[in-house]
Amino acid sequence: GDIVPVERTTVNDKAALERVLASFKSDTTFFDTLTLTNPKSLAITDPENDLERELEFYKQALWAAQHAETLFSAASLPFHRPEDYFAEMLKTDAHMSTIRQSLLDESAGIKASE
Amino acid sequence: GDGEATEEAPRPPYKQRVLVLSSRGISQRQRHLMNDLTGLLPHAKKDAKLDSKHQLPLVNELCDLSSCNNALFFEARRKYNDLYLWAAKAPNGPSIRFHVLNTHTMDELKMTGNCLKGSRPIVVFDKQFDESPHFKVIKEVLMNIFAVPKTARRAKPFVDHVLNISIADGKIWFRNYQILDIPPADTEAPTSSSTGAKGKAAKQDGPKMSLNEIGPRFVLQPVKIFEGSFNGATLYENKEFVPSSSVAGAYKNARASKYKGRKG
Repeated sequence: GDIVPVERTTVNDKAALERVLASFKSDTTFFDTLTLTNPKSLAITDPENDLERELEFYKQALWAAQHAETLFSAASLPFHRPEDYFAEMLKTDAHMSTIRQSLLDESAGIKASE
Repeated sequence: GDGEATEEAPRPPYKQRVLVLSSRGISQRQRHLMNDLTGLLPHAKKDAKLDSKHQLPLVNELCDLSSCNNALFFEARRKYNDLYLWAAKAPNGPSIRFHVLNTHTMDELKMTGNCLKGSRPIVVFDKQFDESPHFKVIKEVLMNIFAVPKTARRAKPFVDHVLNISIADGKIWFRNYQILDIPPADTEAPTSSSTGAKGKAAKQDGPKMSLNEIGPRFVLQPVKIFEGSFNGATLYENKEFVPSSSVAGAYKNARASKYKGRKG
């Protein structure tokens, strides 16, 4: 069913928001937080369109990764993990092999249907 | 000696610690999301479920006990199976209450990426975060929580993932991608014919890189911003937010009036 938007009186105290922001905003450099802000707006015309939206997110993230890499190399800091560096991963090996298996199954299924 | 120290006041070190906890009555899926996020935050500490549903400022005391200056509190509402997420700067505020939508956890097989446990992500914010006061406050709070500080003891020394925080449709979309130092394979990269030209240009000029989604995915709809941490004056209220109870109520009323019409 359609939801009828009800007009409500809502608060948006911009002056207080700016004051509160100034009270806790920390003075940081890129290497403290590794945080970037995309200089370009996303071109999402229809947020319901999954393909278009996800592509815009992907492009923003890719820009950030590439920009960060240049900042790291300018500061001569290591960025990519070397091949021989091993440490605990976020997802377990067992889970990753399940993912690989499902990808294989999927591609086998596509081949079989062709 | 002393003269040097007073010449340039040293910047206070950027230190953040996050307390992660939930209310009681959280569902399995919601708990999964919480665990996924905790796994991404080496500077986080998980606490037991909060017993009280009505005294949320208690979270500030728990933060103090674990020397955390940030809190992520997952507030489950059983009736409509809703999840609300509080992001707070303890103990003085501000705090933000979000409605969590469209959750996908890291367990899903579509999410093929992986990264080191506790590596520091590149956090990237949408341009729109700098364009209105409430989004500026939200950006700073989310950065304090999701950007892993240099000082985090368990952080790993390499960069292998990006947290992408975008705004679309007035809501905040959270994505986590693995960074691969290989160019995208045609089957994996989400490229369509309309943007093919741009993609090709980036491939040739830029560093060879591609991304693989790790998860989790979720959407945060801001509900309210409070001046304090779990208390204080309301600074912002989202007029587009419709609580599940009014959606259900409107549906019920519509059915009731239809019935009345039939009877009358």
